[in-house]
Amino acid sequence: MINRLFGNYLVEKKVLSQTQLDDLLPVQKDFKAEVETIAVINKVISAAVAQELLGRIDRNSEHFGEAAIDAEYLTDEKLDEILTYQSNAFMKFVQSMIDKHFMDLGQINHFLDEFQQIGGYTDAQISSLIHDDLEQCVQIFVPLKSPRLKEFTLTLIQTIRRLIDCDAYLDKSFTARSLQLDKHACQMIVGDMHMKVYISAPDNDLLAIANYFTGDTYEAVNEDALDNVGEFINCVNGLFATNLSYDNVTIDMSSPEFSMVGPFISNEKLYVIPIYANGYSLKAVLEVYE
Amino acid sequence: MNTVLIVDDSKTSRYMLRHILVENGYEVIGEAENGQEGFDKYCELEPDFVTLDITMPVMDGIETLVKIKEYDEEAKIIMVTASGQKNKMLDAIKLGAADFVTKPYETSQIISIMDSMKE
Repeated sequence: MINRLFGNYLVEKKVLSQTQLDDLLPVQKDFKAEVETIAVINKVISAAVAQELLGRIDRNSEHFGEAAIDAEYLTDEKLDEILTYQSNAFMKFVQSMIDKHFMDLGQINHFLDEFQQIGGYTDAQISSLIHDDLEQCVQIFVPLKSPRLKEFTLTLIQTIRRLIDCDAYLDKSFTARSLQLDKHACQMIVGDMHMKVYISAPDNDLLAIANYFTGDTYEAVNEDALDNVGEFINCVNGLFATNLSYDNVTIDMSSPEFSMVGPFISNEKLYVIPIYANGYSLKAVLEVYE
Repeated sequence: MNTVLIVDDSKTSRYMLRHILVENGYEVIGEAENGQEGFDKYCELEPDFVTLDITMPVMDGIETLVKIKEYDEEAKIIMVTASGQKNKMLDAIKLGAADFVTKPYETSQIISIMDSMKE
């Protein structure tokens, strides 16, 4: 989740171009981050120390990890822990930036600190983002008091990642009392919970779901594409209903609805959750009734 | 070839299921977008299997299940629903549904259920 957020921040700061970011984002499977990169990002050693050590060793015959242990910057245990992060998506993202000479480790570390400060993230939150702990990411971006709404959001993002885009991510949610929706699909939940779930987006952005959920391809968002989005919401709500049923909480869903024209909705409790998937920007809106 | 009637209010859902069934050697002889239409088509087409969504307008899946079973107690009906609520699933089984799958499902889930019921 952090790759895109941090990448977007670097583009905003003009230290990375959009083309460079687009080049970095695809997941690289057969690739591992270097020990020094992980050690610096995890703040085990500083970027300056890492650079100094790298300058001293012959990388053809000596490993950074061993040199760091000899110099007592790392313990064997710490190195073992670092090695477990070599396939972490964020570590690989950072490593790619270094390998492609877009930025060096010191610069990346500096901007990561700045990103943390400006975003108001605690060390624990940054760690959750780096390690893509979805449950914690939902806590960070969707700070809802209701445990059920949190559980719903977790089900939503997990289902989007499973069926739509494995790199989908959330941004900070917000509350509203009224909202102009765009093209959307929605479904009412009744029973022990009463809320309406919308997924809405302007123009053709709902293709992010419609073109990936069933394998159908639409050139533009039309009624069939919206039916597709409605069926996706139905699946999310069904999974949510299943989870709730284990706690003897019963909900029912009405048939999904959709519209090419966005209504203006107003309610005391509107929760808006920005979601990014397949290069499109969507809004999940939870209209909660007492 | 075994024949199937798909009853689901979502065009997307019907499309997905039809695609899976046809790819796996079943003949989809009819589709309906609500329970009443599903019941009418069952009487007209007498398919080997019915896949029945639960949440539908006009007549929901549970009511449709009851009507079809009253008409033909041998009907093989598989409930296909987004909601995995235990009580509803158990109700459907008690009322005569042969089995159920919850969306999103894997192709193998629904095909293995239907293959096991072939005569």
